[in-house]
Amino acid sequence: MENYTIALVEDHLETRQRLRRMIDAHDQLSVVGEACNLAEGQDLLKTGPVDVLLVDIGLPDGSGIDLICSAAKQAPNTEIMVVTVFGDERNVISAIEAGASGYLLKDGSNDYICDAILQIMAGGSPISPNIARHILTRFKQPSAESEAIPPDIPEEEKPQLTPRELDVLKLISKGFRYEEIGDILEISYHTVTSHIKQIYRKLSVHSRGEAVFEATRLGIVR
Amino acid sequence: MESSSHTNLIRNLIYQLFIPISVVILLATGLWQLQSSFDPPDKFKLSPLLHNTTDQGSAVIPTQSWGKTSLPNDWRSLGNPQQRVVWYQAKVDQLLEAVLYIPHVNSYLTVWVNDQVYATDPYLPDRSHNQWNHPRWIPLGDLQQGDTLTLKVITDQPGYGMLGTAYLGNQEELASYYQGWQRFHITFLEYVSAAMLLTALFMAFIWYFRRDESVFGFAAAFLLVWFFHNLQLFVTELPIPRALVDWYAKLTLCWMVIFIIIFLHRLLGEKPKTFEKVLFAYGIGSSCLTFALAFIIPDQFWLLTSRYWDSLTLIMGAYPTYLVVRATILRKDKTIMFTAMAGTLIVAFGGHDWLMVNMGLPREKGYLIHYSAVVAMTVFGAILLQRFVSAINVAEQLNKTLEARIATAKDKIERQFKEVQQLQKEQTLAEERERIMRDMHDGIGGHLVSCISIVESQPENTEAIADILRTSLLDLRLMIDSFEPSSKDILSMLAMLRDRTEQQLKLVNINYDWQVRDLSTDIELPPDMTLQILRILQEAITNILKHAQASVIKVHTYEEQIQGKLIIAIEVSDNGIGFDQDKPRQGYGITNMQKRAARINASLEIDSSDRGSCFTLKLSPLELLS
Repeated sequence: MENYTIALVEDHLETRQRLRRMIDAHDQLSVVGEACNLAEGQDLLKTGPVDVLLVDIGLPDGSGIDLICSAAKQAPNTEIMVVTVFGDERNVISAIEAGASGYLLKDGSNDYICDAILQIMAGGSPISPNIARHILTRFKQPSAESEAIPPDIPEEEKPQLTPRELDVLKLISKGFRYEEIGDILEISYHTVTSHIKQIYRKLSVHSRGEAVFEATRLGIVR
Repeated sequence: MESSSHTNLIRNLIYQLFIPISVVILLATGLWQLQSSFDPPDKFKLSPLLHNTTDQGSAVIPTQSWGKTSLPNDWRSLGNPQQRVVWYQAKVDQLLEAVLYIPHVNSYLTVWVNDQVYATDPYLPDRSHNQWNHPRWIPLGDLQQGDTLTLKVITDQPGYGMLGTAYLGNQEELASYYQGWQRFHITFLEYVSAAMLLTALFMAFIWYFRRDESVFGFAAAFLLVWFFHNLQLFVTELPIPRALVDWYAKLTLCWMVIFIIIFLHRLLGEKPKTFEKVLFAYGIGSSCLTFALAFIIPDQFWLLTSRYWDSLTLIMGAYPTYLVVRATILRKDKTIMFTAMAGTLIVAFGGHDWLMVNMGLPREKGYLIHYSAVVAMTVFGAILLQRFVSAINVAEQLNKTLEARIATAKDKIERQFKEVQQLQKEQTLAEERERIMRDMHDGIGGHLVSCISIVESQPENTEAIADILRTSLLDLRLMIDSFEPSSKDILSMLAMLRDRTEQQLKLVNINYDWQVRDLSTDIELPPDMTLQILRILQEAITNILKHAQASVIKVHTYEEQIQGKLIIAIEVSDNGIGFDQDKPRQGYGITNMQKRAARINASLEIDSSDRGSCFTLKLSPLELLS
């Protein structure tokens, strides 16, 4: 069995210690770096790539989103997870757009935390029904809701979800688990998780496309 | 007071009528002077003269019954109302290249020099050759001393024929008098009539596009009728039977007066309906009667209609004069004053014409009334134009006022809208704040209080404390979820509930059997409704977790029709040991769940047996939304 290295960026001491304790207890996982603010987090990135980076969004000297952006650029092979109390869609979606591929609930049990990390290393990403629904709205075809997607984004900048990916998202938004979705759609569990991965990637690209559109519209980029 | 107002009235009358009357006198005098200036000197007058009034039909010059006479010779002085033909004869007393110039002949003229006919008017039986108003210019070539000049005059108006002053002289010497009179008497009339027609058409167009302004319509009718009246004064070949020429002339006069009366009514803003109906009835009645008379008694027609129909027309003409004078006195209005001027002129000249026809006033110069047309047309045209322009101005002004009003109203509405929006916003905020407070009080507040109580009484019971804290966190998450826009429909809401509770259930090896089905209606739940439902379901799940000893929780959704109403059911069941429904154990929170269900108009059915329990929450979308 493979071992994975983890870096932890979290300003709250107790939470950081709790997470570290749980992760270190697992025989496949070990925390190799810790940071309690954005600056330290940026320094941590320079020390070398890790397998998984756990980032809290609300850091005392800045937003964890910035750190996720840097990490996504500097260490493309590192899986980034956002650590959140509520797992609410606003925070999670912006983290995914910045390059994260999953989220962890801070109060999660031992099993939950370790499972989520292992799952992401195995190629799956956790996704909540809320987030699935949000992504569905974001990718809605322009015909359905006229201005949902700005028309000026070039076709290659505007990735569309495949029908299968849409099926998966719809089932997730109705509360079905990956295994159940696999059964309903008659595909394997791994196919479901790779769909999710793909959807996350597209969401990130999609948001960059929207950013370009916005910038063009505002006259920043010509 | 009474006498002073009378004085005012008289002063007003004099002041307002002074100008129009002066203008009338001035114009009439000027006209008289101008007309006289076209008379050739007396030395050209044809004299001495004989006339024969007895021969009425022969085509050759009679040889007997000649008597002395002089020109102008108005047949009314002959005393024979049946007189149709009169012969005139004169000896040429000098040798010259001559022309015979006669400004006025009523009506048909034939001229002989000795036995040779020099000129003859066509006398057609079925068509009028209406030449009586035209001056005659008959070149006679070289005349010898002692040549006999014979003239035969025939009239269509028995007893009313006339030979005006005739002038015999050199062409060059008489030409300027003839041309001047021709221009003044005929050409001028033609121009005036053309102008009348154009003005009438212009007003008719205005009326056509603005039907409410009937004043333009009646002005057009008045001028048009006058134009037709004038036609018989200068058009010799009218396309009407001979018998109807006189009828035509008097008919147009009658209708001129009718239309000017109605025109003045409209101009003064009056509308006496019955009076106008009577007026029209009179116009139509008299027109029809005289039309018949023209054929029944053609010989007496001229005399009778001149005496009676024309007189009635003139009397009717006094009414508009009264209207105008009254308006002039009552309103100090320049337009009315000018109307009075024009009206007085028409009445004065019309009166002159009536006196000329009926009372033997000299008639060599012809009618005068059409000279007043110039003034009348100018005045009426100006008044109507001013009215038209001021109507446009008023409309423009109204438009501006309206625009300003709309702008003000728009501002006001915008302001009010903003105020309403602000109020709504404040109200929404207040409602939200109240709801959040209530939710916190219901949920996390209570949990924290009980947490404190446990910490104080049994601080060693960390498991209970952690449990309560976890429940608090879950409740907080449910609250947050209930705010999410994506949790408005029932399936998303249930999905979230699963997401939030599954971790906890997994720890005790309870799995979900997820049997949610798509719903036929897409109802949107308000956040507080969502939270209430979530709390009921969460309570049910907590009960199962704590008491049921189950391994599977089945969540199932379905729809059913009860009494024609669509019901959405959410069923949460387990495979545990069940509980006694009659004596639910404390901590089951069933009462609490029922209360919450009642609050959102939903019903909660609870069924329990030793094979497990089942909670069914039934919602009616219609009642939820109401």
